[in-house]
Amino acid sequence: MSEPKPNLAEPLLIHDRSLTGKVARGSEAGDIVDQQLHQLGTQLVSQVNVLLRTVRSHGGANTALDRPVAAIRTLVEALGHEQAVVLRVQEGFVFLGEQHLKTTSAQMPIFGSFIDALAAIGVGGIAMQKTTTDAELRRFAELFVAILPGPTGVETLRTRLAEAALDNISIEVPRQARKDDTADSGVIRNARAGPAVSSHGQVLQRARSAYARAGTALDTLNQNARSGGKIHFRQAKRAIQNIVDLLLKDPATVLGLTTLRSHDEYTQNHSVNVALLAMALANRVGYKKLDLADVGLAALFHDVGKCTIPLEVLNKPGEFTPDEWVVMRTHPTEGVLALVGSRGLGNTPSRMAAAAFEHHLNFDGSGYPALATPRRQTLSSRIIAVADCYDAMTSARVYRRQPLAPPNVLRYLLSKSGTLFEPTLLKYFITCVGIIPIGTLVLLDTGELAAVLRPPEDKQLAERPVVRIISGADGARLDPAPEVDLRELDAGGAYARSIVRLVDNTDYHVETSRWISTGSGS
Amino acid sequence: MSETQAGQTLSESDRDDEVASARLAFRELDKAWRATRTYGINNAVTKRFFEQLETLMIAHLERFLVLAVIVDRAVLLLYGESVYNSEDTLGESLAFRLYGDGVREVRFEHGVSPQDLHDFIDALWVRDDSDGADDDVVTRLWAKDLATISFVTAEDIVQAPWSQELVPQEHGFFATPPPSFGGVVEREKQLAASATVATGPGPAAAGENLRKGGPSGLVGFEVKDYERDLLERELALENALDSDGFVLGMLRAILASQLPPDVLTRALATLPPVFDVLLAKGRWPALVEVLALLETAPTVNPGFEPTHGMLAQRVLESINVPQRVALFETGLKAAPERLDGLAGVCARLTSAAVAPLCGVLANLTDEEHRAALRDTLIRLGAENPEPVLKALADERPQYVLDLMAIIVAWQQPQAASVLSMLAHHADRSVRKEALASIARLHQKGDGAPLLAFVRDPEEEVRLHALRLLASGRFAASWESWAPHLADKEALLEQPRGENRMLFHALRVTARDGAIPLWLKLIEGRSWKQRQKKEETALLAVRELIALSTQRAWQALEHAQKGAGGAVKKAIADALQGRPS
Repeated sequence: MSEPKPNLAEPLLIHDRSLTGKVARGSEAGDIVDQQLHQLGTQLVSQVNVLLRTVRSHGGANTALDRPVAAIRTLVEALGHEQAVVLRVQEGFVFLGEQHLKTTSAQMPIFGSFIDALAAIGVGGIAMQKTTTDAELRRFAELFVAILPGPTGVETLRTRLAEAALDNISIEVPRQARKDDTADSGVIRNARAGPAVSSHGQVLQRARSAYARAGTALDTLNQNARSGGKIHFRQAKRAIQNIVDLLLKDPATVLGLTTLRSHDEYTQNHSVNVALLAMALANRVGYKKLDLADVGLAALFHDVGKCTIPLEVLNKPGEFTPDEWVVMRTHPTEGVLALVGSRGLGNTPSRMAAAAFEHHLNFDGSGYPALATPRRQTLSSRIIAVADCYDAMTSARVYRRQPLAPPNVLRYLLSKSGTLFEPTLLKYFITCVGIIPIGTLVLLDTGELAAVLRPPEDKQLAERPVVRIISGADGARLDPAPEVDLRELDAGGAYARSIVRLVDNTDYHVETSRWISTGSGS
Repeated sequence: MSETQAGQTLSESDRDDEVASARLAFRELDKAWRATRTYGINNAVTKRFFEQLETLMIAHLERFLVLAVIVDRAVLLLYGESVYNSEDTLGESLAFRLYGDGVREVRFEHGVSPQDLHDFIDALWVRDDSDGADDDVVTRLWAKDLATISFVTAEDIVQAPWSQELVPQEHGFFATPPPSFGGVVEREKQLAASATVATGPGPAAAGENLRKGGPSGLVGFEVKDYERDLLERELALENALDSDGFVLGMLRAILASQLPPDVLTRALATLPPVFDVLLAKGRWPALVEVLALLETAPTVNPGFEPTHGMLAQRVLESINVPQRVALFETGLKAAPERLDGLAGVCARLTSAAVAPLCGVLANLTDEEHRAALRDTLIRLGAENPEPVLKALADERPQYVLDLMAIIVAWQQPQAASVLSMLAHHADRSVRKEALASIARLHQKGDGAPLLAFVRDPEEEVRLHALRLLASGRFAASWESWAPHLADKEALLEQPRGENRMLFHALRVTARDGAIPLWLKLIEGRSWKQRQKKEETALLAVRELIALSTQRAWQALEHAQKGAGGAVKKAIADALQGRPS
């Protein structure tokens, strides 16, 4: 780890002492949160802009470059992990990686200059590895400003970078905009109707992006909560609002993402999955669009109280001891206290607080926290409790390695109808995920194996979902795996394929998400 | 390209018309936006701009159906041509407001309503632009749920590669799938063949449905009407929840429950800022509940350890912190009619709150509010009177009157001397009330506090003070009187009747101490106003006679030598009739 360079970092980051410390720790500071990332990104744009302008006026050897070069290196070290730090200009907006950098009027002259500099030679982005050296930055700037404006500039620059063997700095061409939903095409996103998307694939792609953003927002919030900082919702709100739009268009495709079971990111994936499942269920119950976003946000942060639990307990492999369970069971109360403590009573959304507090209480009043006076869950909390349990039981996670197949979890939920869970909500839940839930591995009468993609739109044919055939009758994997609607009839008017058996995928350690959430499974 | 002309080739003049019309519409949108920022949405000027905007926007959309523009920094583009470009600072530009938060495109559609336009502008109006704000233009626009105005963000339209985080699990419990599922298929086929009813795991109904092989639907899972209605009612109730009260209910539940010590400690630490919110909103009953819980929890909740009890006590006492007490004013003004529970909160204040509470009282105008605080200060101030007494120096009459009411209620006679300083207060009603208060507090004894009022500019106040002094219940030395009677000329100017009262009061309170003054008045030779001089001297003679002490008679005998005219005669008559 490099030592802090206060003479360089301080002028940049003097407004945020905690950030100065994190920058000094470089990329090992995994606790740089969203807002700070935004600050650093803005600083990086500013310093790159200074670098290019200074080289243009004074050349690459001038000592005036020392300061911006050192600052850029410090910032890249702080921001860079395994991947390069990329500043992008896309459709006239500046991004740090995939994150749009919000721009103020005061920053606009700098941003404008940066955008114009890249646009003049057709560059879409500058990628810098954390190992980038001062000399490379100087050389890059010299080569950059030497390029004459024009459409071929980007290729010329790329060639010269290669010739100069600048391994740690590269450039990107501008990414393509999705022209299907731009003003030019006359088919842009309608705020009420949701994004103008026409296929499951488009929804899936957008949903994946929103899913990742929600996960990042959750990460930010957890880090903030853990460090005692203020908890903000803007980033999460944008992601959740996006998901609501998609969910209203195509709930099954969005729900397909909940089959993702990343072992390492259990907490993050679980919370996003709970949000998706809860919104889908709330949608069935009749929640309006704004309430859906509200319940989604509440579900996303339902485990916020875990931020007070020591990481060695939270991430402990194997079973918890009784004492550790006592600690784990404090997270609902800690959740409320964290929210109220961070945001104050007047700014704590009631649904979110309720979700944090009540998601381990049960329909019949049992569960935890053990309260002196019995407490009835709110409707939203009951919804989130169903989603939470379903996702938790279908997931492999650190303290319970053995997941259950989705149909088995559904069976379990139904066995607890009226005790742990609200019976009506369970009925609605089944209409969401299907009687044969999304992600279920099934054996067809053709001998083929398939993964359930989405329930049929026709409720009368509940056991005829849309599936992806993953292997032929001989067991050979299919790639690409075709999507088939089990309502399809053969030439004789009979169903072409029918499910003959629900397969417990956990028996074979087969995860079906690759065939559901990625489109093809390849 | 707008929907109306989608698929067609627009003529140059059509485009020019559309662009020109769009410019007009955005010019009015800009005016409405600026007026809203400057004057507020309900201002008459703003409303006029909105009417013009509606007219032009509706006219445009009647003709072209759609107005979809691309946001490029401070410029809005239609067909690549600028239809809006703010001429002044970026902060004033509605285009930049959209750009700054990442809005790439905006689209207005046929049927746009005035309300939609209002909501659109409202969403652009940033209240909190900090990095930590919960909302930005995008989230606010979305939350407006506008039927005819839509938008696209930069993040929406840029083709991002699929996220690296979202990859299926290939280590841990699940593994990379094998190249062949032959074994799985064979085993499952055998299991399927041997199954009688159910065909694998899952809900019984699923198996049942599969066994039937026909279109059985979601048997047993239909949601009945009454179940749907029940949930709808619950949802309505949930949406109508008082958010603060609901969250507070959770905190109360935590404090009342036997939870791990750390949790209780943190719950207690959460409360002081909660007090602030409840105080600032004037939610007195809710605050009383929390305070009451804090009082009882240490004995009622078995989870409370001695340290929790001490912490609870400290939290309870924190309600007396000056900044917190100052919030009473905010709360009373926020909910002026809701006073239920206020007395309960006040009852839990201690004498430490007296000074800040005085500050609150000073700023209140509502009589009911002031009465509530007066009652509290009557109770608390008796233990800690200093802040109340010091506050008497304030210039605001109503406040000082309230303070006097508090002081009188304490019934501490020694406060009379402090009240006497109000003789210099600029407001007549204050001086009058101060005198009355002194009289109520201090019904006999030292008359010094009353003397401050004997030269009051208001006759009513002076006469009241003199009447009190003349009542015989008070004593005041000549030394106390002297500063108030230093101006002899003023005595001459004063009406005879008032001088009579003054001398009477002087005689009753100072007794022989006043004899030198009267002698001076009788013998004074420097006086120019002969008539008045004589009247005053006669009054002095009268008082000496009424005093009727040995020294008084001696003084009269002495004065007889120097006096003349009516005064001399009056003295002579008096000496003749002198009691033996």
